Amino acid sequence: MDEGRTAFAVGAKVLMLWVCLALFVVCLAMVSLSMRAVLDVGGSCASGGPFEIETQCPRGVGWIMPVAIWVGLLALVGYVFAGRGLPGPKLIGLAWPALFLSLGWNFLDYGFDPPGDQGTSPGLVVCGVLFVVMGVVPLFVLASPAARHWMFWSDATPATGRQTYRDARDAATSFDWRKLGIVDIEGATRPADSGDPGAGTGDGSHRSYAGRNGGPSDDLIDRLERLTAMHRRGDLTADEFAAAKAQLLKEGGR
Amino acid sequence: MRSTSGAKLFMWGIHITAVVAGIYAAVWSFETLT
Repeated sequence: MDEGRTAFAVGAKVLMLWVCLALFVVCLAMVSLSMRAVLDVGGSCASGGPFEIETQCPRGVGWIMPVAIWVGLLALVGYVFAGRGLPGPKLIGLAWPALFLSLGWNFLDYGFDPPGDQGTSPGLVVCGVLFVVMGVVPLFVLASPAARHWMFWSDATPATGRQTYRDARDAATSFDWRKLGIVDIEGATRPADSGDPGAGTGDGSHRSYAGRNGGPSDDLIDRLERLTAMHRRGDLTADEFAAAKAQLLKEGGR
Repeated sequence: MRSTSGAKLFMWGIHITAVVAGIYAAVWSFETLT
């Protein structure tokens, strides 16, 4: 592909990314604003149908909410496709926290200070806390430098889904989950260190030390894969990669 | 493939302008439609 066509393709991807991200933000904000409009009239409403309606929905909210949800999802898919291969931020991972934290904020805002003189509304506060927890939990992955790098400062990659998958997998597998205290793998030992072929075997939480089946060859393959990923990312020069690979193979052959 | 800091900052600019424009468009649209 000549340079002119490459520049055009990159420009088109950037434009599509801008439009899709802006559209997603529009939809997210519309959902949040619609929710506030419903909470303003007491938290529940209805419109249309043959029944007598106690509380009419604010004008437009009845269709804005479902349309915004589906268009927002489509915009998110478009954002991911447009961003493949481009450098810089990949904020797809923040979509879930953005949705749940914005809605959680609405619940808490109206829960502690509902319209009228009703005092605190415990039901809304409980919903707010649940939504905030659901929004915050995925953000723990940002404790990983590799995940932060991928999400906020990534390099241009070949525009293939496989590459994007590999980057995400590398970020996830290189993360030391012990930092969160969720996975206890302190007791796991490398089979090569212990001399016991069965050591370190067990469930998937020990995979980073012992491999899927706990065998030394799986461990070696894992380490070689991680090394290759680092080289591909540019963290290792060709010489460093070759030296480290030779060292690994030497250790693995013992 | 390594990318320059300028390219990454440019993409950050694209993201920030899209988010700001999206918020303004949403508020304006919501007030218009409701």
